[in-house]
Amino acid sequence: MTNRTNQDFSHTDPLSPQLEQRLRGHFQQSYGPDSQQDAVWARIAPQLDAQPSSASPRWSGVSGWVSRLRNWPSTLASPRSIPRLSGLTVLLLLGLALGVWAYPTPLSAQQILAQAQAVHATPVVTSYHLQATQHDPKAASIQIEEWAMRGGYQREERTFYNAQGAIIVTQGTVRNLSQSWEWEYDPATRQTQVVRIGSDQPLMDSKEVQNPIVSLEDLLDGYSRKCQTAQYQGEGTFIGRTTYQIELVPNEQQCSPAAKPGLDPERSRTEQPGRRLLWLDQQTLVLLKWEQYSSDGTLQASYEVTSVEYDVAIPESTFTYEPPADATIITKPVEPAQGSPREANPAEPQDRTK
Amino acid sequence: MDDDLILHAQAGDQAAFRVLVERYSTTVERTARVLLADRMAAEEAAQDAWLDAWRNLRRFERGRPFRPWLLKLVINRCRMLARRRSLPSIPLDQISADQLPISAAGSTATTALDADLGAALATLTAEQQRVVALRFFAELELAEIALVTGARLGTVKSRLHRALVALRAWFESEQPMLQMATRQENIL
Repeated sequence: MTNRTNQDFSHTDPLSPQLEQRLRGHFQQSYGPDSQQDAVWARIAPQLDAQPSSASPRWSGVSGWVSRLRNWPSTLASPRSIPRLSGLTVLLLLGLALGVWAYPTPLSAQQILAQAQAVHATPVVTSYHLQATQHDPKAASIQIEEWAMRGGYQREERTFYNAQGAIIVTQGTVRNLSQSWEWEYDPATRQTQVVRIGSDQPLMDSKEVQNPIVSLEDLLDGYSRKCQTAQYQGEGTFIGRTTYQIELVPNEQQCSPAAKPGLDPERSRTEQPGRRLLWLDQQTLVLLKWEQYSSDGTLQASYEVTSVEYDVAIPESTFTYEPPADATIITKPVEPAQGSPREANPAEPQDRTK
Repeated sequence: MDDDLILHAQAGDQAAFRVLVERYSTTVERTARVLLADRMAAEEAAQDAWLDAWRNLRRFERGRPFRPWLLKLVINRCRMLARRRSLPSIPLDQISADQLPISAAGSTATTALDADLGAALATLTAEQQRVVALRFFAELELAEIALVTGARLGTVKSRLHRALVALRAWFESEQPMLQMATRQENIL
């Protein structure tokens, strides 16, 4: 007789064909039909041209110029070279004239942002450690410290100060391969609330600790949804790093959110998001600075990295988290997902302060 | 099998990439649906994951399995989306009704048997339900489920084992009742 444990392969015991069929049928009913493959491709294909599969758009830009230069002799040898040369001469003169006003760049804003988004998924540096300050309407200032290591490791600590310089709240996030933690320390009550997000928690439920920190993907969300147009503003230097400066301008015709009914028109105008300015590190494409303006040009929020180190050795312990002994661990009841077979299995919060 | 397609796609061949999309789109979308439990959000995450795949394809080492690499991109996108949606600045109040997740009542007509199975699934823990859905809906391998859920392989195995034991017990207890009901229908 086989002695089975959880470590053996008893999970592979087949279900009866009837039960397996019902299970698959149930999930398909609950989650709904699959998207048509043609429809999936139709959504993706238009965006592929703008974001070619290139390890480095910077170098593809250079190779594009090399390719054009390589084809130059054949262009001159063509029987239609005279009209072409005339047209090119005009273009050259126009280009020279424009060059007086703007420094030409081999990269477009779209290419830079596509590269930044790609780098966010697969960083070019093995690790980084940065300190930053954010000014936000919710707090006078927020001090941020962030550690990140390739492979999905991240730690972020945020301290919110009021106008008098007193700490309002301290927040943190730790992510590693197996779990995520978010915590919030309230100095008024001297209590730490911890939310564990990971294999035991559905991703959509991570709402206990509200995080006003705006990440690159948040900033580029409107751009990704084609609600904003990106414009390259030129190179710059910030904290000793060469940067690309990009301006994101809302595309009001497509995505401007309607003013909420009953909201004061003046308030609506000043709260309406306007342009965003981004400063990206040219070498690593890490976001070093951003400014968010309202539609009337008022600065709403800003973020500035004050120091950054790349490829630094970060101890693995940085990416683990042990809640304080007196912390309140929130095990949020799993909400019944609408349209999902996941039903509620309420678990009471485990109050470790007791 | 995937290697030739990846080789061509890495060179910029969109037709080859399309074959990859068609081959794995169901897996990608179903995984996102299980993780996010929101059809519209899952479609967005899946679409973004495919765009990430296209952008990063040249960094993919051929010879390695493509599906786990792709699933990592799906997980990243689901996490980003979930995080973004938890931000107060996201105008969730402006989401139109057709963007809301499918309600249980409004979904496809559910038979009595499915309702019973739904009730049986509801007795499982949330993580057991997720593992079962990833196994039998997204059709993921156990190692892939471990990757997606961030749990250890042994944990995934034990969760799935316990879930299947419970479901089998429920199913076996239901059979005599079903047979009785069928017999009564035949008599009538």
